[in-house]
Amino acid sequence: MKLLIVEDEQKLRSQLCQALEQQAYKIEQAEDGEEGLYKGLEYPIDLAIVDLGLPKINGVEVIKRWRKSGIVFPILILTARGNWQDKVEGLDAGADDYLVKPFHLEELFARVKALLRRFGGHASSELVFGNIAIDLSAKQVTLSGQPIELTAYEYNTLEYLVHRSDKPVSKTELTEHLYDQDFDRDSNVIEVFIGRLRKKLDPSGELNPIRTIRGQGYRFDLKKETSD
Amino acid sequence: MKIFSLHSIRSRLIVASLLLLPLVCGLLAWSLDKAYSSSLVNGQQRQMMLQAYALIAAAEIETSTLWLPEQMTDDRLNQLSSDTFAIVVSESFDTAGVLWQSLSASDKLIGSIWQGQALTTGQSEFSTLNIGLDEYFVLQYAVEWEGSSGQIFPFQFVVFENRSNSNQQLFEYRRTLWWWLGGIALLLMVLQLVILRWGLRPIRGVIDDLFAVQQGQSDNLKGRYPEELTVMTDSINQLIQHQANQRERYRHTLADLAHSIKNPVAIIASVLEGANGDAKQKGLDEQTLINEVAEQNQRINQIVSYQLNRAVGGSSAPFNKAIQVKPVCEKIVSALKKLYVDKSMLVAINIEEEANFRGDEGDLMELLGNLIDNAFKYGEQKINISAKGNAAGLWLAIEDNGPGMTANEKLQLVQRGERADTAMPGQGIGLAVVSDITANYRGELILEKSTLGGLKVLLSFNWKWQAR
Repeated sequence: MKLLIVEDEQKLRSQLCQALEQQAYKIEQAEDGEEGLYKGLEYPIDLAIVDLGLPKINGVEVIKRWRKSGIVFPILILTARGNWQDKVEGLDAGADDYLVKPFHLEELFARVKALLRRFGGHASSELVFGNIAIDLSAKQVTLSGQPIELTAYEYNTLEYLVHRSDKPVSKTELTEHLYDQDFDRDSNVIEVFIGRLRKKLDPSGELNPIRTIRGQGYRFDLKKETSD
Repeated sequence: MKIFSLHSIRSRLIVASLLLLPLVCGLLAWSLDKAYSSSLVNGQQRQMMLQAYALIAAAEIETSTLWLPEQMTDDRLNQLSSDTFAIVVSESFDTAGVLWQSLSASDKLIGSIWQGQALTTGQSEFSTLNIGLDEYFVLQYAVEWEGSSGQIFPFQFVVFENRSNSNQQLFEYRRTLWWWLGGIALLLMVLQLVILRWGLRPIRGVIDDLFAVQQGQSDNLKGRYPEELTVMTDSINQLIQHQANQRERYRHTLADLAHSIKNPVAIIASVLEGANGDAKQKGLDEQTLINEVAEQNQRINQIVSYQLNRAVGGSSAPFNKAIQVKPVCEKIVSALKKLYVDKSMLVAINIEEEANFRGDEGDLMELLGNLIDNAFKYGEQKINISAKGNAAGLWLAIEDNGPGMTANEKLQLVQRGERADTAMPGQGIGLAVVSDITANYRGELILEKSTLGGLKVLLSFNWKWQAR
C-alpha cells in the first residue's frame, strides 16, 4: 500500500515516514500543499495523511481540490488544533478521519489500517475466506488455523488483492502501489510473489485463491464469509 | 486644530439655535409691527371721522350758504401751522369749491392743490396726500343738506392730519419693540446654552466615567444615567464585565495549567534523575522509565488540551448573534457518521428552527461536537438529538443507548474546576469541556438516564437572565 504524507514539519514527516515504512507501507512525501496536491493527483496513492496547517496551499484546500478532481483514496487529517470547528471543516472538505497532534504512533497505525480496510469494503479487520483467514490489524494470515509465514512484500501483495477483489489488478498497478518509484517495472518479481503466495495459501492447488485473468492481471477470487 | 466641528452634538445644537432664534425674533417683530401700524392707522381714521362729525354738527345752512363758527371746539383747527386742519367743499368742485376752511388751513394754500374725488352721500374715504414735504392723512365724508326751501346741498367735509405724529409713535413703538426682542433673544440664547449644557451633562458624565474605567480608576460605569442612556451604559457595562470575565478565565486557566503540569513535570524530573544516577539501585529498569515518561507525557498533553479548550471557550458577550443550532448539529452528525461508519448509528434529530445559540459558533461546535462524539462513541446503535428554543432560552438534549454513567461518575464530572489531570478517562474530558463552556454561558448541565437506556445530557441556557 502506498501512502502519501503531506507534512511541513520536517522532523515529524521523517519520523512518520520511518515508522510507516517499518509497517511495510510504501511512502511518498510532500513538504507543502502544492507538492502534496500534485503527488495526490499524479501518483498511485492508497491513502493520504495530510497536515492542515500547510504552507502554499492549506490542507483543507488540498483535500477539496483532490475530491473535486475525483480522487477517492481515504484521507487522514493531522491537526494541531483539536477544536471541533477544524475537525468538522476537514471532514466536510472530504477527509475520512482526523488525528490530533501529538498522537501515539500506534493510534496512527490503527487509523490507517481501519481506513484502508473500510476503503476496501470490509467492516471487520478479520477476513475469512473458507479455511484462509486474514487479520488486517495483526497483518497475519492463517490457513486452517495455522499461521502462514509471509514476507512483508507477500503480505502486502495479498492485502492489496483482497482490498481490490472486485476487479482484476494489473501487474503495473501492483508494482506502483507496492514498490518504490525506482522499482524495475520490467522485472518478473510480481510473478514470483504471486507464485509463492499461491503455494503458501493453497498448497494442495484446489482453491486457486489468486486467479490470473489473461491480459488484465490478477484477482483474489475467494468469497468472504464474514458478514459486513 | 478644529475648534468648531459639526460632528459635535453640542456644536450642532448651538448652530441650530443661532440660526433659529433670529428667524423667530424677526418674524415676531414683523408681525407685531404690522399689527401695531394697522391699529395706529385705524385709530387715526376713527379720530378724524369724529372730527368730521364735529364739523358737521357745528355747520349750518343760512340762506343757501354754509356757515361754520370761526372758532372751533377742537383748538388744533384754530391754530396756524397746526398739524390738523379741515375744509368743506361743494360736491361740484368748481372754482369756488372750497366753501370753508379752518383757521389752521390758512397757511396751507389747500384750495389750490386739493383735488378730491366724488363720493356718494354718506360715503367716507381715508387716504394720504403729500403737501409740500409733509405727508397727511385725509378723511373725506360726503353729506347732503336740505335747505329751508327744500333745496338739496351736497358737501364734503375733509379733515387733514399730519402723519408725522403717527410716524413718531410708530418709530417709538419699533424702538421699544426691538429693544425688548433683542433682550429676550439674548436671554433665550443664554437659557438655551444653559439647557444645552444641562441636557448634555449626562453624556459628559458617561465620557468621564468611561475615561475613569480606561484609567483603571473604576471597574464599570457607576453613575446614575437618564433612561435614554441606560441601554447604552448597561451594554457597555456588560461588555466590560465580559472582558473582565474573559481575563479572569485566562488567568485561572494559566494558573490551573501551571499547577497541573507541575506534578507530571516533577515526576519526569525525578524519573530522569533516577535514570541518570542510581536507577538500578532504585529498581527502575529501562522499560519502566520509558513507560513512566510516556504516561506523564500523555498526562501533560491531556492537561494542555483541556485547558486550551477552557481558555478558548468564550462566554456570553452582550452582542452575540443568534446561531441556528440545527445546521451546526447536522454538520457535526454528518462528519461523525463518516468517522463511525462501522457502527451504523441511527441518529434522530429533532431540532426546532427557533432553537438558537446566542454565543460563539466555535463554542456551540465544541458543545455539540463533544456530546455527539461521546454519543457515537458509547452509544450502541441509537442517538436522539433534540432542541427547542425561543427568545428566552435554549434547551438541548443528547441521549444514547450506551452503558450510561454511574452516579459517582456524574458527580465527579459536574464538579466545577475538575482538572484534566484528575478527570476520569472516557467521557471525562469531552464532558468536562462541555461543563466549562456551559458554565461560562451561565447555563445548566444535567446528566440523566435516557429512556434509550444510556446517558442523556441536558443543556439549558437562559438568554434573558444572561442579558441582565
